[in-house]
Formats: sequence, structure tokens, C-alpha cells
Amino acid sequence: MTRWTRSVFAGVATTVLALAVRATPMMAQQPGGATGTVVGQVLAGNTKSALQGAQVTIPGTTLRAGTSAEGRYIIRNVPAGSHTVRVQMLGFAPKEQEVSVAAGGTATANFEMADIPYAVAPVVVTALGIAREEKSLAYATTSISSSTIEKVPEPTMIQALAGQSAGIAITSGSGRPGAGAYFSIRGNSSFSGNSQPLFVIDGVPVSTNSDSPSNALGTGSAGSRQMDFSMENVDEITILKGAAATALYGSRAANGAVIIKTKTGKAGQPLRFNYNSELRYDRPILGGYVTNWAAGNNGYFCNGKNVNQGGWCEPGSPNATNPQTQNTWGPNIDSIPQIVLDSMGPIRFRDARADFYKAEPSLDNSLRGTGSMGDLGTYTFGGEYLNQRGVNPAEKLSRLNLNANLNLKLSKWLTSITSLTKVQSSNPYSDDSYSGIDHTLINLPPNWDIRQGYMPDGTPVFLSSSTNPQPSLQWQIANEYNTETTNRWYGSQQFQVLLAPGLHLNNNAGLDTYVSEFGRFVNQRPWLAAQGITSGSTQQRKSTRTNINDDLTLTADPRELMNTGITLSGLLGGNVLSQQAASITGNGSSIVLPDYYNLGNFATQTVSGTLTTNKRLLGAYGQLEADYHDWAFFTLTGRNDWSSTLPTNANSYFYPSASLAIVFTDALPWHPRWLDFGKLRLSKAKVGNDAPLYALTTRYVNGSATGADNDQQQFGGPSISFPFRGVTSYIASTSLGNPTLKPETSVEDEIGLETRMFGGRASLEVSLYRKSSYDQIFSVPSSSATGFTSISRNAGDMRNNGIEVSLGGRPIEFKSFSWDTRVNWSKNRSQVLSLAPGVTSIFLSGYSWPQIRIMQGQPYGVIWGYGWKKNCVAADPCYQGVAPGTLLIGDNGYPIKSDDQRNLGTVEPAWLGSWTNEFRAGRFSLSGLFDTRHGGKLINFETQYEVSNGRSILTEDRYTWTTWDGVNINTGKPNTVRLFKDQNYYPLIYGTDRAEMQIENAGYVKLREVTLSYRVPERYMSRLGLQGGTLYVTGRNLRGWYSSPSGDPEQDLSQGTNAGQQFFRQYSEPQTRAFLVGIRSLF
Amino acid sequence: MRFMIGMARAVPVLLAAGVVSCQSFLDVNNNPNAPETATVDIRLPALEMSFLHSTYNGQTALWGSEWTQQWAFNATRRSYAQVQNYELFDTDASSSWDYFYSRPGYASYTMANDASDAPNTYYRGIAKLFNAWTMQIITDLWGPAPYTDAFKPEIREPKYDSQQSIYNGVFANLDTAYTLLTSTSSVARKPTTNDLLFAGDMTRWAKLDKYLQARANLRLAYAKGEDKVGRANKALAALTGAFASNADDADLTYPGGSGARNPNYTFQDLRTVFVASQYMIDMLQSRKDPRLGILFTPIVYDSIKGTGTSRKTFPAKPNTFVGHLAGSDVYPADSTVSLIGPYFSNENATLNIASFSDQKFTEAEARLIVSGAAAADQPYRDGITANMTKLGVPQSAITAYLATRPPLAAVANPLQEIITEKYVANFLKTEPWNDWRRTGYPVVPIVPAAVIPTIPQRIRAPNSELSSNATQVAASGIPTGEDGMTVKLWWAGGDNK
Repeated sequence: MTRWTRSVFAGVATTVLALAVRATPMMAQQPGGATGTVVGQVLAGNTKSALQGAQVTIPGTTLRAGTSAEGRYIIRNVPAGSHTVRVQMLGFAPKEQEVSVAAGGTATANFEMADIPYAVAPVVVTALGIAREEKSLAYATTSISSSTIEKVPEPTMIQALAGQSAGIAITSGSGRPGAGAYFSIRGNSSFSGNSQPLFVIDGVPVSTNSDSPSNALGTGSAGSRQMDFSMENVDEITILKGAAATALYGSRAANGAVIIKTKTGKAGQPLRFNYNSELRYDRPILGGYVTNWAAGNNGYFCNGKNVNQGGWCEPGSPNATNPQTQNTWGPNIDSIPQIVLDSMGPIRFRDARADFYKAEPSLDNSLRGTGSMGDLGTYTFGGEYLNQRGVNPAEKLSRLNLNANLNLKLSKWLTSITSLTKVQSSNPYSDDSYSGIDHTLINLPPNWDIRQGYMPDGTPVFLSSSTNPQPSLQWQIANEYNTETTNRWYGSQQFQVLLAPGLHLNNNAGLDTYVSEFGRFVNQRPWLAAQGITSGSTQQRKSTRTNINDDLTLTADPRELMNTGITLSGLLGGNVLSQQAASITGNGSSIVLPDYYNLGNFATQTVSGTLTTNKRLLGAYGQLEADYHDWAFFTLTGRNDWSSTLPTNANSYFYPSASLAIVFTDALPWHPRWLDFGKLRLSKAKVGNDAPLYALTTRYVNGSATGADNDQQQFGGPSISFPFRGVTSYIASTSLGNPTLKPETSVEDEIGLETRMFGGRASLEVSLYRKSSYDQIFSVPSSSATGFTSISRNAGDMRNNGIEVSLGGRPIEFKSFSWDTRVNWSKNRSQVLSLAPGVTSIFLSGYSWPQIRIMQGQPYGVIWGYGWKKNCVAADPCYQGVAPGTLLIGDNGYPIKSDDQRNLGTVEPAWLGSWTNEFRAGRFSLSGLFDTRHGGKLINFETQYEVSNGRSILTEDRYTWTTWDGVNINTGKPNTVRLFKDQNYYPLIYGTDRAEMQIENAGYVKLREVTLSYRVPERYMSRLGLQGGTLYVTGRNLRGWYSSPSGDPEQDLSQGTNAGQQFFRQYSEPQTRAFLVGIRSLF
Repeated sequence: MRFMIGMARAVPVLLAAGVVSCQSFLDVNNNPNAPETATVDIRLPALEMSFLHSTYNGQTALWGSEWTQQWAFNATRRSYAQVQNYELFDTDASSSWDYFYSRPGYASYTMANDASDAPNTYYRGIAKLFNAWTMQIITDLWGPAPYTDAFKPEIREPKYDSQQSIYNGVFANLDTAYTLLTSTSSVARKPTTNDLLFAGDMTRWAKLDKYLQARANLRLAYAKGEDKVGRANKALAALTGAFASNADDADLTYPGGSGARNPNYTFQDLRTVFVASQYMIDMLQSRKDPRLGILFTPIVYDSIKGTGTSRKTFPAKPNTFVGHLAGSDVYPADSTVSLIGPYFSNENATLNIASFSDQKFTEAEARLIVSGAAAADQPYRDGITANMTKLGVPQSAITAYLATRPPLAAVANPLQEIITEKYVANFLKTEPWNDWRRTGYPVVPIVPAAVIPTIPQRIRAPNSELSSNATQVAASGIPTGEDGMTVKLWWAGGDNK
């Protein structure tokens, strides 16, 4: 030991000793002297239920006790005399009571605690399901209780979390039932584009993958397995945000974790039933398109019908030969020429989507029984049947969830907790995005009436006039659809063994397994058969996925370390994880007998699939907590993982975390009277992550050859696949494996403040974090002259800095009226510091142009496309005396497209916020949630088509004059050329490759939900044999405010896991506004 | 303290449990879905198709035949509305570049390496041939490109070689390939049905090799610093071992159906947008070429007038052909414009890769250079005859057509005449664009809304190179933007790049 380390050591020892001395009780106990006992029970004032874990102290002494499960406590050796007994519990206002203790006697002090609004639960579920005192946590978590969850009118879990916590971003791009949502916590940090957090239900990590073919730009995405999780049986959700919070989970939770605890029975409670029923109406949120202009061109009217099905144009129309135009450049609703009215009669103007998108009511019913078996334990069982209808009549989500939870106290030292859920879901849906129905509907001019689906002779009404005309929507939804049915089980078996007093061994074995069957069915188009063109196809896919997880932990309860005031506790654990998936797909093309989708009924059949993928992980971890006089909490964790996806000789990686929480209101001798509780927290954590599956070696793949024009989406030319002419073949993958991959790493520092003020009436929580992610493993694009278009590498360095603020309280409280409010606000700034040597940007999503990229030196997610030439920007001309960035205008008065694609702005929002309110008056409660995304940009790819068509609302100002603000590119003088905004003008400004004009502000403020509920008086309920009941009405997405001209900016392609698709908008199904009525009853 | 001791005792137990058979448990990273190795005979079909289907008849061939106005794009839609005006984005250029290097390029390079033992001599020969051909295609499209550094994954930023040095490599590989393909080794095994082009007939591969040598030599005839007559003589020398008749043609058959369609099926599938060009129809009509009705379909209606109940269609006279003016923004209605003929666009149409006809035009041009127009006349007529025979034109019509063509010695510009006939014979291939860049024939008009002042001379630098290999791209000296497309290739008379 060097002198330096020795002196440091001595210094630390002296400090610890000094702290210990300070805390040493001044009044020594007198064992065996004149003492008595204080006993009592602590109950929650509103529910009269026992409070476990409340701290009972006698100020001025070191005497203290915690309450049992029944809320009881006992303090022995209390010196005779008068004492104050104080009870503290987080979430409740502290209470004190005077007692008089006689020597050898027993005094009783019972407490009823008043709850504090918006206080988090005193005990919080943390990583691995470990319940910890909220007070002792040194990192940010958000707990959402069942009472909050049941107010959220969302049948699927992720959407329900929107606005519930600072620092989480949730985008549900489509209003389709079963559609997934993009979910990120504290920004995006993965170069692979996937920042989805880990979902854990009762200790079992569950899959939220999407198993079915996904082609976001083409046919849209399939549903996400997020849809399987019911909100009905959720007791509590905890969101673990930072690396310190998730350190024990390790790599799987590198993007945060969502811990879900399902409902359990309550001790001592007789069997009771909850029956909930909800009826819901969804209506699409439309807008963004003109509805008062007729089909046609150059102002001439056309009825838009097929030439063989009654198509007609006004004389003089350039469309005379083909009245089936999808252009809305005809006359205005107010200036229809008389000749049109004479020929056509009155004309109905309509957004075709308003006729098509109409949902049948959705129904959600659930029944749950909860009870106790006396000393043996508790149980709960229940089921939910959801029948959610989409606004597209062909779409729905029907789901049956059955679950049971059995908590058995087998002996004094052995407890068994079993939780099992069975899910059966069925999710038929139509294509989305480019080939979706929304695209078809938007393209239809406002005077097109979609209500007629078939001609009298039974052929469908045609919506376009090409050789392969598009049939009516009625035909489409009956003959072209996707289905997905899933049969899933997940559950866990937990054994808790009391090895010795204060020492528990716990094993939690979990399983999540399902079989999902996807089918895509496209019927024969008989009108093509007449032309000798074959049609009709199918894809049928069966996927299985099984996750097995086992955690074995040894936990030591808190013990004071030899009267030092330091209480230590800890745990050691081991984890085994196995993830397995497989699939088989059958493809058929050219259907033989129409309407019959057996694979054998197709002229060409191919089978492909993923034999199996296998990933395994072993982990060992430990946690040590030190608590100093209940005001300083220090936690150390460490975890070592061994992952199968890393090279065998380098598959082990260790990552530690350290965190410190100081309750300064307890630590300091004085603090302002209004400040009830204050905690400062600091943490630093490292999280490692393994490699993607099978990234170490370069493999051969099934041979294929792309079509003549494969990269141009709408002209996908014929591609070759093997077997070809009966021959099978392999070719090297274009992605190079890397046998030297090492684990990814991210390091996060977090500092936070939590306070509660004014008798618990207000609370403020602030967190600041800085997360650096480096050595990221991703497919680094490479010069294809190497033979490979990408190489798996450890590369890239990026940083996320952020702040989260949560302010809440109960500003008004009277006996029968109260107002609770909470504001969550967060801001995340990301910066990509470097990618890989020689690589300056990588593709995230989109087309060749425009697209969303990750670029060096920029925030995560940059829109990359052609913009306008601007003064002194890049290689554009530069005039002195003209402000840089001023538009350069051509002699014709039009702005000029830039020579190359450029950075057109970031998709990263400036901040996210939400504001919740709840007013309670007697038996009525009114709650509401505003949700906000401020700033950030999106790319609305629809405009490039819809402006040319004259459908976009951006063409509403047609037939006016404009002069572009800018300078002439040749002279540098201000532009004075006036342009007339007609059918030719808009495509030149917004058309095709003018991505700069497709950029819109992605910000919004939404009134997500408003709920009015009424607790029915017990006397009415009891007449029905019920013990209690609540009636409620809810509105969801009632109102939105945004500056994006084309409608709801939340409507985009994000249904799954690619961060870039979140801000890429192209014909997704509209979001819906929903109205619900429901009842929650208890009997 | 007892609990601490308890914990301490448990530690080794837990650790031991965790470590036991750890490594075998974790040994599941061997991908069962994709093999780590595959023998060359299994790899051959994918190599052939990746080249023949996508490289030689892929997107860039489509661009070239559009720019030389063999067909025209008849819609305002994205992408092709720009391509027809010679506008390409750097990202458009990426897909072909990436494909050529990472698929046929790398597959042929590694097959040549892996087939180094005697039994695989023929496989090595085929691989060498495809590697040479791929590199020729790449340099014909872009000019300078990575060659000596190419296909070496350890070189992350491969340097660019000049077109001249790439051609040197192409010739060397074609020579080596010829030696291997004509090997008489008794241990060398021939491919069988896995050779989708020639079913293991090595003499046909050898002929194809000579054909490629001849064509590559002639392509350099007008290159800066090259000996024109010398190159023409080399081409003529190679031709002696090449195709002897249409029976030697390299033809690829397609069964049709999903995943097995001729690449030109795009023309049928999207027949309202990929239509006949007015330029080519005018040319064929003015020359009274009997192939008109095979290359294109006649129109159904002359015109369609009126709407609704007063709609009248005016059926066209039989064998009326109307093309769409390339780049025009007036779009004729379906049925009033000619389409690409089924001989080329059917899903199960046979795809011609290399033809005796094309070879005869190569010979004609070489003879013109070496000996003059009179010597070129017979191969020129043989080229026309071979193509017409292949397309099924009756012998009487062939004879009649040949009679209308004046002897080459009698025309003012025999080269123009040869290349114009070659242009028709190489319908929908990439060769007409190569010939136009070399010779300027046929004289194709520039589209009205062209974004550059010339029909493109090369493809601009791909985005994938600009974002992953920018330094080397810059060092190649070709402008990386759209203006790069105006710079002539070395073999087209540009400088030595």
C-alpha cells in the first residue's frame, strides 16, 4: 500500500467513523430497565387496507420498526414515559401520535394515513422484479398503477403509455387495430434503427416482434406482437429509463425496460369478481385534402369513371378519350358549368375516405375473480375478450386473454407464485402505405362516389383505366387481405425459499411461446384472365418463437452493520436466457380456381423459411445496497454476461453501476417547513450489448437475381429466384461477417432531484442524463468494390443528453372537490459523433431520395433529399450583399432544385410534453391528458403525388398569383417574376424530387383523452347484487393542433422498430377519434 | 453476521452452477439457415443468372436502350420521367454498381480462386470469363473503377484504376479463360444442368470467349492513344474462333411464372408506360424494315373521340404503328400507341445474350477499318440476315430488304449504315448505347427537356461510393455530379480515364 492510498484509506475510514459517531444515539438504551412496548396497526385512510413497510419511529431514540403485511408493528424496550410515535411512508403524509408507556406495559398507537396525490408507490418494482423502497432509488423510474391504467382507453399496452412519463416517446403511426407503435426511451441510440425497450411481464421477457413480412414503403407493416398484451390484468407498470435502472438486466434492456406486474389476490380478501365492459366507436381523423374541386384537367369537368362504365367529360376537356382521370383539376363546387349539371345532375362532393372508413362498434368485456385461501395464499383468474373493429371494415383485432395467478404459501419457508396467460388473437388487415387502401382513397377525386362497388353485370367498378385496372374498394377488401392469427402462452413459476432469517433464495422460471400464422390472400382478377394475364397469389407463413428465461437470486435482507447506522443488503443472481424462432413460408402465384387459397391451387408454388434461429445468454450479477440512517443510499451493481452471438473466445463482458441517493430533508438538520421530502440522486452505469445473431461469419444465401429495375419500387421488374429451371444455387451474402466483434457499450451518467412540498400537495422531479454509446455493432456500409455492400463492425460513437422534468400536485382540495395535475416535460439532444472510418452517413429508411439517414455530426435522424438552390449554400452561387440561404430563383420565376441531396433538417423533436388533470367532485371524476411533441420535422412523401393530382390541401390556393421571395440566380437581383398557380405550377414546386417542399413540422398538441366517470352509490349497486361500480364515458384523440398542413403529423409509417419510419409519411391508415362508454363493477 | 457468512458460502455454489458447461450451452451461433461453404458447381447457376439476368440485361441496359430511343416512357411518374431526361441521382446509380461488384463480380472472383484445382478447370474458366465481362460492363458504364483493389474486403477504400488498365485486365482474363475452357485435361469435369446457358458444352463457352475478345478489341478502336487498325485486326483474329452461325448464339430460356420471368417482361407488365419510341418506328418505317411488326405491336385504335355514350373509337388500319416521342409530355392513350413485341416481352421469351448477328456487325466494322467499305459489305449483310432469320422473318422478305440496302461502298457513311443496322439487331440491349458513345450513330435526337446538353456519356458516381469511398472517388478525377454524365469515356474518345 503506497503512502497515498494509505492516506486516502485513512481519510475514508475517519469519515465513516465520524459519520457513525454523529449518528450514535445520545441516549443509551437501558436493556432490562424500566421499559415498555408500543404496538399498533397502520392502515391507509381511504381504503382501510393494511400498509406494509411503513416506518414507525420514536423520535429522539433509535427505536424503530417496520410494519408487517397486516400493517402491524411492535417496538420493544421503549423507556417508560411519554413519547411521540411517528409513522412515515412514502406516498402518505407523515403522522404522529402521543403515547404513554408504562414500565412493563404495552401502549397501542394505531394510524390511518392520508394519501398524497401523485405520490409514487412506496415500493417500486425495479429490474428483475425486485421491489425496492422508492426512497432509496438513485435513478429515474415511473410507476403507473392500475387505477391510472384502467382510465386509459387503449386496448393495447404501448399506446396506453403515451404521455404517462417524461422521457418516453411513443408514436402510433396508423389507426389500424393491432398496428404497432414505435417506442423509445430517452431518445434513439442504436445505429440499427431499433430502440425498442425490453418488455418484462412477471419476470418473463416477452417478445414484441413482428413476425410477418414487412415492407413499410410498399405494403406497410404487419401488426406487432405488442397487440397480445391486455391492459385488463395489469396491476402496475414500471418504466426503467436509464442505464443505472436497467443495469441488472444487462444488454437486453440497453434501450430501457418496461416492467409489468399482473394482478394478484389480496391476503384475507374473500372471493370477489370484477366485471368490466366497454363499448367503443372509432371515427377516422381526416383532413389534408381538397374536397371542393371536381375531377378533370385545366378546369374542365370529368366524372372520373371508367370509359366503359359511364365515364364522361365536359366537351373541350383534354381527357375526352379517357375520362378516368385521378386529377382534381376540374371546376370548383361553386362554378360547375351548366352543361355538366344538365348531363350529370347534382354532384356530390366528398372525401372518399369519409364514405369508406366507418367502424362497427368495438366491444371489450372482461371478468376477473380475486380471492384468498386464508393462510394458504391468494389467487386470481380472469379473462378478456376484445373485439376491436377498424375503420376499414375489413380490419379488426379479436383477442381472447385468459390468465390466472396463484400465490401459495406452501410452508413457512417456501412460497410458490404461478402466473400463466394464454392469448389467442386474430388480426385481419389490408395493406397499408403505397399499395394500401388509403392511397387508393386519397387518389379519388371528390366527386367520385365509392358507394357503388359493382356494375349491374357483377364486374367491379374500376378505379383506374390501365390494362390492369384497379377494382372497387368493395372488391378489394373482399378479395385482397392479410390475416394473422396467434396462439400464445406466457407465464412464470417462481419459488421463494427462506433459507435463514433474512436470507431468501428465489427462482423464477419463465416461458413465452407462440405460434403465429400469417396469410396473404389475393384472389384472381377475372378481367385480366380475358387478356391472358395470370393473377391471384398467396403467402402463408407459420412462425414460432420461444423465449425461456430463468433467474436464480439469493437475497439478503437489510441488516445493520454493528451499530454503525449502516444497513447493508444485497443479492447475487444468475440468469439463463434462450431465444428460439423458426418459420416456414409457402408462396403461390397464379391461382387456378378463384376463391380457393390452398397452396396446391396455385400454378407456381415455392417454399422458403428460417429453419431456426437460436440465441442464448448466461448472466451472473450482484447488487449491494448500503443504507446510512435511512437518508443515504448507495447501490453497487455488477453483471457479467456470456452471449452466444459473440466470438467464443471473447463472449464475456462485464458492466458495473454505482448510484447514490441522499434524502437531504432527513440528512440535514434543517430544511424549510414547506419541503417535506427532498432527494438528490447520482448514478453512473455501463451497459454492454452483444452482437446480432449470426454476424460473425459470411454465409452463402439462396441465389437470386434482381429484376431489370428492381430499385424503383413501383416498377419492380421481374426478379429471378432459385430454384430456377429446377436448379438450386447459392451465392455469397453481400454482408461480410466479422469474427472479431466485441460487445457494444454505452455509459450513462444521471443526476436527479426529487422533492415533495406543502404537505405532499406538490412534487417536482428533475433528471439530467448523458448517455454515450460507442463500439456499436452495425452493418457498416462499405464500398461494394470490396465485394460486400456492408460489413459487420464495431464502429460509431453517439451521445444523448437530456433533461426530464415532472411537476405535479393537488392545487385545490376541499372535502368533496379536488384537482390533481401533472406536467411531464423532456428534452433529448442526440449527436452522432462518428460512424466508421470513411463512412459519413448511413441509411435508416425511405427511398433513394428522399430518405432518413444517420449522419456524422448531426442529431439522430436527418432528412436527406433535394432542396432548393440557396445563396452561398454548398456549391450554389454566392452573391455578396444577399443573405446566405436566400432562395435563388431562375429567370422563369421558379426556385431551382439543388444539384445534390442535402440535409433538410432533423426529425428529432425539440421537446416532448404531457399534461394530465383530474378533477374529483363527490362521485364524479373528470380527467384529461394533453400530449405534445414540439418541433422536429417529418417528410410527407404523399404530397409529391397528391399535389400533381390536385388532391393535396396545398393546392387549395390554386388560381392565384405568387412571386417567390428570393434573388435571380443569374443577376443576384430580387426576383420579380409573378407565377400563376395552376395545374402546371404545383408539380414544378412540390413535384417528385422536391423534397424540401415535402418537409413538414412534426409537432403537435393533442387532447389524447377525456374521461368522465361516476361512482354509482353502493345502495343502488347492492340492489343489483353488486358491491360497487363505476360508469364512465371517454373520448380519445378529441382534438389535435398542429401546423403541418396535411393533417395529423403522428400518422406515419412507424409500426414497429425502425426509428426512421416514424417520420416518413406515406398513405398510412388515419388515426381515429374514439368515443367509449363503459362500466367497471365489483361483486 | 450470520447472513453474511451464508451469502459468502452461497457464492461459490452459484458461480459453479453458472460456469458448468457454459460454453457448450452457448455454442448455438452456427447459423443453420445459410451454409458457410458451397461448392463451385452449386454456385455456378447463381453466378450465371446474376450476370446474365441482372448485369447484362438489368437496369443499366434499360437506361441505355431508353436513351438511344429504342423505347419511350409514356407517363409522368416518378423516376423514369427523370431518367428519360437523362437525369439520374447518385442513389439511382448505386443499385447497379453495388449489384455488379457484390454479386457477379465477387461471385466470379471467388469462384475463380476456389476452382483452382485441376478437376475444376472449366469452372475456373467460366468464372474468369464472367469476371472479365463484369469488369468490362462496369468500366463501360463508369470509366475508372476499382480493379486491382477490388474484391478484397480487407481494403476498405479501394482505389480506382483507369479504364485502360481495366481493359488490360479484361483481355488477360479472357485469354486465361480461353485456355482453361479449351483444356483437354482428363480430370476436368464439365458442368451439366447447373450450366443454365450452355449445359456444359465447353466449345460454346470457348466461342463466347472469342466473341467477347473480338468485341472488346473493337470497342477500343477509337480510344485515345490506341492503334485503330491494330485493334480491328485483333478483333478479326479473335473472330475466327467465335460463333459460326445463329446456332452458336448464347440464349437463355425462361420458363415464365413468378420468380422465373424474362427480364424484359417489365415491358409487358407495364405496357402502358414502356412503349415504342417514335424515333425507332420512324426509322424502321422509312427503311421498310420487315422487323417492325416483331419489335413492336400495331396500334388498336387510330383515335378515340367523344366521351360517355357519344364515345367513338376509330379502329386503326391493320399494321399501323405509332410511337411515343421520347421525352414528350403529351401521352397517347393506351391502344393508340405501339408496344414492345411479345417476342421480347413475354414472360417466357428466350433472352438473347450474345448473337452471331452482333458478331457479324463487329466483323463488318473491323473490316471497314482494316480494308474499307467493300470488305465490310458481306458481313454487314450477314448480320442483317442472321438477325432477321432469328426473329423469323421470311426468307423472301429478307432478300427483298437486303435488295433495298445499297452496297456499303456506295454509301456516303458506311460506318453509320453498319451501326444503324446493328442498332436494330441489338434491340433492347446495352450495346446500342455503347455504339452510340463510340461512333455517334445512329444520330439520336436529344429529348426536349434534357437536363444535360448530351445523351449521357457515362453513369454518374454512385451514392454508396460517395458515402463510403469518397477519397478514392475524388482521386479518379471524374466530376461526381450530374455533369459527370457529360464526360466521354476513354474508349469513346475522352481522355485517358
